[in-house]
Amino acid sequence: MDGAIAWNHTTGVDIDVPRENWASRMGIILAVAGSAVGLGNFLRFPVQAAQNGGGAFMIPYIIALLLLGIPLCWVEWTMGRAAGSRNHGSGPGILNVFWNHRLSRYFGALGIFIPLMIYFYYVYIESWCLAYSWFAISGSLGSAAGSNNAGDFLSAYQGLKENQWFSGISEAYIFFIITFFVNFFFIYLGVAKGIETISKIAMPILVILGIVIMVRVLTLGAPDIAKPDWSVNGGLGFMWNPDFSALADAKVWLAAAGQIFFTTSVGLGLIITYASYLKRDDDVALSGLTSISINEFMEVVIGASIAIPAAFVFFGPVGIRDIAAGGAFNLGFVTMPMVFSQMPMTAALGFMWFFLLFLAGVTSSISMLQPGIAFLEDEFSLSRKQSVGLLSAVSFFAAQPAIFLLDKGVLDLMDFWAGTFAIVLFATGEVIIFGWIYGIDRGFDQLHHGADIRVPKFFKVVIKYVTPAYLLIILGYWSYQSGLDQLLLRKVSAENFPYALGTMLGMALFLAAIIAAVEMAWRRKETS
Amino acid sequence: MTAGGWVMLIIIWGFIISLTVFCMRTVLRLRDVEMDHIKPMLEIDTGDLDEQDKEKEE
Repeated sequence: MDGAIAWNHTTGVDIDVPRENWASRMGIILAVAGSAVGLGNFLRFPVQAAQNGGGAFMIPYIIALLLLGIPLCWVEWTMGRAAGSRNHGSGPGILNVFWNHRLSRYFGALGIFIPLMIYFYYVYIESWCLAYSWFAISGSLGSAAGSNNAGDFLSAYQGLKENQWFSGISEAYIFFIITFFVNFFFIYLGVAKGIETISKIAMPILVILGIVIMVRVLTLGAPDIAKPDWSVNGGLGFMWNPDFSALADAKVWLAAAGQIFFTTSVGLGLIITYASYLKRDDDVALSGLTSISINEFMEVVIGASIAIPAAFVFFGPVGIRDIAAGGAFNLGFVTMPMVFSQMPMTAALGFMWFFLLFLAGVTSSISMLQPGIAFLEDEFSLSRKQSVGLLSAVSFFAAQPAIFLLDKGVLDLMDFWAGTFAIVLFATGEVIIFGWIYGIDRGFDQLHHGADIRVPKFFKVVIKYVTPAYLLIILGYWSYQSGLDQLLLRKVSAENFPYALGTMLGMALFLAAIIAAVEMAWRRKETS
Repeated sequence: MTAGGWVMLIIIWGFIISLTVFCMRTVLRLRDVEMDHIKPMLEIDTGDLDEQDKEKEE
């Protein structure tokens, strides 16, 4: 471990604080890729592609990858590594290294707020995957799906209704507790022993499970002789046949940009934190590109070849349109169990599918906790035990609304403000600070420090002009399209209004508390 | 799937797989180079340099 100089608030002297480092290069690459590979790769991406022009969707998607995903990835890796060597591992400290102004610290609070807010509901959804992998093995999911009751099974599991499978939310709560404990266990072990270890184990398993299920789906052929059109070939066609007229629609371009955001984990405050545990001379250019390419492989090659083609084979060209319109969660938790129930080895395939989603979820959710841990450790000099204790207590209570108020629209609000709007806002701030305030020439030099590949100069122009402009357009469009409605809670029913208002106030208070903590941390530094 | 669909699939998969293979191969190759770099040099003290040094001093 490398030493780093920090200020001891108690004694008022500089102390040599050993800051953790990644044990290996492949460790951080797999950890960042694991953070990016999540439920969205296997559920959200195929639905987005199918709804937005099929193969033609991939044109704006690849353009967004080149102009948004990869440049922002390099910016975050570079900023994180530079700030880590100055003992800062979370948004406020990292942005402050590149722009020494109080506003940068306050804005950087988003780098703690966003991942924690997402964690508060993501961990519950992640626990569904663990539960469903258990239900698949035990056979209850297969029997429910076999009788076309997968939707009722999910609703009862979530505590929204009672039926023969579930009479309350107790099972869901037990799996939530297990998942919550698993996350904090790996976080408690630390960056190298915890996050790196789980990433090195989970990612290869994830790839193998994905390839096994993909091969099974792609070899389904057309199982019903009476319906030769209901085939894998047709399913792939539904995903990939290009509808170039869709490219004239601005929404398709924005959907592609949005998907790149969701899938690459940029703007969440995660990559900057992970990169802060790099050593000063470690490469970021090749490592960043490698992590993003692994994520794209998992999404475009494996993710695109499972859910939609499989659903097409069993529900046909008409049914698949309703399924795609039903959204990602419906596809994953209702349609896929029904698909597996019609295939040989129902239990094994169901288990593999949901365990794959669970592993993808775990490697993502632990990365959402690390910025908060880094903030407490680096800026308040708390021990890992204290940081984990404090954050686990906060997270446990804050996760309850997503569990018990699921049907009150709470999760949707959290997802819009933290999981959609704030990440684009944070990324916009990051790239402006990097390209304009710190300066693109110095920034590019930082990127190339210790680099194993040369980044084309073309990306200087992209990072300075194109990426910020692209982000501002997305931000403006989303604000215009749904920002005011969401802010004024216009689409919320009268029955759910008090819950929605409470959620909004809760989120605002949580952000204000983080900003206050940032202010407190810097005042302590200044007065000590 | 139409011919257009196959063309899109092959181009996009080709791009993504090529990028992934290039990155992984470079990372793994460099790891070997880095390991060679940090290996200590083979040091065998035969003593002849000491004798040469003494001769120069004289």
